[in-house]
Amino acid sequence: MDARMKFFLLSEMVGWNVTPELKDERERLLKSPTYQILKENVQEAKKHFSGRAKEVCRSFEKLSIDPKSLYQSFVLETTLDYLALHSFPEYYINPFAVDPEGDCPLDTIGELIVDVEGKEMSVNEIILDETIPTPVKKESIERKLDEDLRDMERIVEDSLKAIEKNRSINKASSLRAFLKVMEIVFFILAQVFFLVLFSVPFEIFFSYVTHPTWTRVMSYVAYGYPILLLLYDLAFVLFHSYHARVREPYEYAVRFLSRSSESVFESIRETKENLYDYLLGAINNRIELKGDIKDFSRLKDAYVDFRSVLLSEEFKKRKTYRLLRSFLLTLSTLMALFFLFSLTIYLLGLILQVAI
Amino acid sequence: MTLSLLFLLIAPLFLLSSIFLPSHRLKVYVRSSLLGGMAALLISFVDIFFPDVQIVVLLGQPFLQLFFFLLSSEQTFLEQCRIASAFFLLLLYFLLYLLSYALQKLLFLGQNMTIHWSGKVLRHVGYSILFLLFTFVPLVLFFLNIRILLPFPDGIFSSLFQFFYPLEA
Repeated sequence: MDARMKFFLLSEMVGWNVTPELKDERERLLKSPTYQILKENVQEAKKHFSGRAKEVCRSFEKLSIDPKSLYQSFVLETTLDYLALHSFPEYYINPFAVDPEGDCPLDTIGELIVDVEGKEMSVNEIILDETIPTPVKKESIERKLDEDLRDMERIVEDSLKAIEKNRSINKASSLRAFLKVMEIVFFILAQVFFLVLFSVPFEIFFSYVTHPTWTRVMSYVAYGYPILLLLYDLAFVLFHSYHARVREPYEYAVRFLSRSSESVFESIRETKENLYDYLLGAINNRIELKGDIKDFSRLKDAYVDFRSVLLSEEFKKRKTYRLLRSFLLTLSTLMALFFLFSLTIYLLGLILQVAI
Repeated sequence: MTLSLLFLLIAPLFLLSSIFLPSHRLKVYVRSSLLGGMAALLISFVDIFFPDVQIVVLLGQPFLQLFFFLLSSEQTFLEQCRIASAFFLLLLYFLLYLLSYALQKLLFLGQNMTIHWSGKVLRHVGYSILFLLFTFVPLVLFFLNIRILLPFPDGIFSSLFQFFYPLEA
């Protein structure tokens, strides 16, 4: 806020009418460099799982850039300044929750910001600083790591809750389970019927296999059924293979967490101790940190891919998944109809011993 | 449509499954089909290379009544036993598969697939070969055993089929 606006703010506080000065405030705030930086940083923050990243996104979403007074505009501007500063990755990245396969905006743990007796400094600055006593450095680092540990434990707990929630949904939805079973039963029935069509001795039908007569429906059954079955089997195999492939990290996480979630928490606590020892070594030897941002990540560790658990339904939005699902649904419907048609024709022919 | 063409059309379905399925799922399917597949391969091996044992008669004869609707008086006794034993093996395969699968579902855990290991691809190829060996090959052997019932001619692999199971003229 410049000196002129500060004058009008003071005027407003003593009761003067400063409404004409308010009309451009909203536009000014929205076009301000601070807001633009914040908006851009929030897009990056959305890709991260740490609690602080989520807090940045939540705070941005709750912002309402519509000040009703100069005082509100002043408060909003200060809020934007604070949020914009703390929307940079140095403030919110949790070294335990970095995606080891994704792009990280930071290169090293040394860039992370730590509060040291009310002053914000990067880890590398703390390591190289000669004025801060070592016990103060250690205490600040430990406090930061404890916060990051609690944050990572929250991610694990959220994963466990997500798994429980999915389990309850699956159990509660008996229609879903019924449809899944029917899909498999129908798949098997379709194969068995193919076997029956071509192995049960029925000379009239076999004559249409070797010498098709296209004025007879049985010829269409003899040739149409295998062709449609092949396409249906192809759609079934492609869809379920793809579904299994994208779902596997989640399925593995469910199997693992349902048997030994305690070992995951122990492993994360152990990683925190390892990171603390690593940082302590750097502090004691004044070694600047480089290229180590992913070295202590537990997001996709030896046990569980938490990212896949927390985003377990995201794969259904993928184009390939939707395409294969549509392909399978279309062919399943056609197959079901043709199956009923073929079964009717075949049984009628078999029972009545006539060519249809 | 010939039997050879049928096999050539079915083969890609198994191949695509073995390529696209994740390693855990593939492992489970291989382990589930291990018993049934090995039984089918062993019996075929004995039948082809030790015909004096007449294993198809030993397996098929007790089940001739069960599969009576598939048999006709025009078939020889050996052919009837071969058909009955093929269907019996098919049922046995599925039973063993279901039992193994249920057990796997209960006990199988696996490893984190995001851990990078240079041998991962080789291991997947190995499991794919085993998958084809214990699923597609027994299926082919089954159809070869019952091909006297099928209205299809043998096709381009006729001489190979005759080597495995010669059809009496």
